[in-house]
Amino acid sequence: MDNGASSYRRFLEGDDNGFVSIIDEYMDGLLFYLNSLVGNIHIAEDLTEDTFVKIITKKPRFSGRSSFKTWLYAIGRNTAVDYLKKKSKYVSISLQDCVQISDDEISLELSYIREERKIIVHRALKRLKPEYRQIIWLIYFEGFNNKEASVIMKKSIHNIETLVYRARRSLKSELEKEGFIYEES
Amino acid sequence: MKNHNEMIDKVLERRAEYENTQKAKYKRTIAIVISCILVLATTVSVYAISSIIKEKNIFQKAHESGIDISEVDTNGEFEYEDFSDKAKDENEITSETFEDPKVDIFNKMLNTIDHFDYLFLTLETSMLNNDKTSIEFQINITDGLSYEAVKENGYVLKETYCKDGNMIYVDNREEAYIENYLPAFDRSDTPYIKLADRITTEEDGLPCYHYRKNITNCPFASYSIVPQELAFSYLKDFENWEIVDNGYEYLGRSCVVLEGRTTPYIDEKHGTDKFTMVVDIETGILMSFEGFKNGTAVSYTKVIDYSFESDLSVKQFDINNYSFYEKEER
Repeated sequence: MDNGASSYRRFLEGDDNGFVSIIDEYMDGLLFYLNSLVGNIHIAEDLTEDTFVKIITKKPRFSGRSSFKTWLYAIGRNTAVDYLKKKSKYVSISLQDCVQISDDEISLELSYIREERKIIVHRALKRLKPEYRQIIWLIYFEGFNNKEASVIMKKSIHNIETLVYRARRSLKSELEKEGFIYEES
Repeated sequence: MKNHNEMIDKVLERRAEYENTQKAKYKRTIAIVISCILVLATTVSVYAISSIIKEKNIFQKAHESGIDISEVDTNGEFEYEDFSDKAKDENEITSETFEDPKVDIFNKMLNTIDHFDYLFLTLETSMLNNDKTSIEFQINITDGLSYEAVKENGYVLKETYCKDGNMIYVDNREEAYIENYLPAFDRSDTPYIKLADRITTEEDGLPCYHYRKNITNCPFASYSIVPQELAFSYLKDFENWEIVDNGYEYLGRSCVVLEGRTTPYIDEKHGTDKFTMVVDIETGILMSFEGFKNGTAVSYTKVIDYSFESDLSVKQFDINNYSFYEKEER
């Protein structure tokens, strides 16, 4: 059984510990995913918080048509997209800011991603287009399949397949620039 | 950067802020509605009074002319209407009744808290650990007192006490207790919500279910005493269930028996394709629930004892009983 779904049900039945379990289980992954969208770990942290607040206050219905994690990430993406729409007129994040990695992010990488090889890939993601960053994060770090990624990113499966192909090609190019050997998996 | 505990605290804090804002918005809306009704009532009253005065003038003229008053109002159009009571009724909706018995019992289940102040109740359920669990509730809403005990094999696993807004959770397996475990609520925190406003659709197309606060302050009351979640999950589609008996007696209470099939979502999550509910007509409390899969009973909850008497005393937290327990911080 999907742990998130059962935790959410417990929360809806009045047990706040259900929600505590959801934050414990999904916070870090969601944070990195939103970071892949907005390119700033501190903004991503605020958006992660906003996503959880949206769920705890509005109590949206989880229909079970997708996994709980897919559903949660879709809500997180909507939150981030709303933020980007609102802020696009006023805020521009410089490329320098995007590429810079804060100490906080390094510490999170070590605790959540753990493997050195994946950390190198994660850092290379920062130099990719936002859509490429997102798809690589969802598929290769979070283990979503193309169908689940299509639900989260609100794209057709065909579009996702194309995006995956282009993102991998772009990632390969970035890694090779730094002298790493890109292995197809 | 926040760690998990800081994130949890922040999210809970923002929920409390949101709820306070909603409460303030609700009060503001009520104030606006009251003002509008007052203005309307005043206008109508002035009109009514001016009509009365006009009628009086007719009677006065008739009297002066020596005509019998009964001959003046031959059309019988003169009526006195008391507008003040009408205005009061429109101002404050505290309950609704519906002609359709299915809608009425559904709404009753969403508002059980309006139909009792004192309740001592014990139930048995298989829905916690796929085993027989007994849950005892002692509730006094008037004084904000409650006690809940979850027992398995006669052993009290966990208890929840509530008094003066402080909910204390005791874990007897861990020998620990937590004060201010969850926010406690009373009647003023949760006004009646019209049935039409219970399920709304959010901007993102997702349905949003509006719950009233669980003022019993017993977390597991949702299994029977405050069955909002079960009512939303199983009964919101009226085509999926029927009232099969509207005069069923259960432990001396007049009840209705509902039978229906579940949605694919509930089937997957709860492992039940059909269900039977026995619901108390007066309060909407779920007296018994049985879930079936392929014709076999797979889950149940049933009330085995209850009392609505006001003179029973609610068990209180006594630190002496838990003196060697560890006090944990929320």
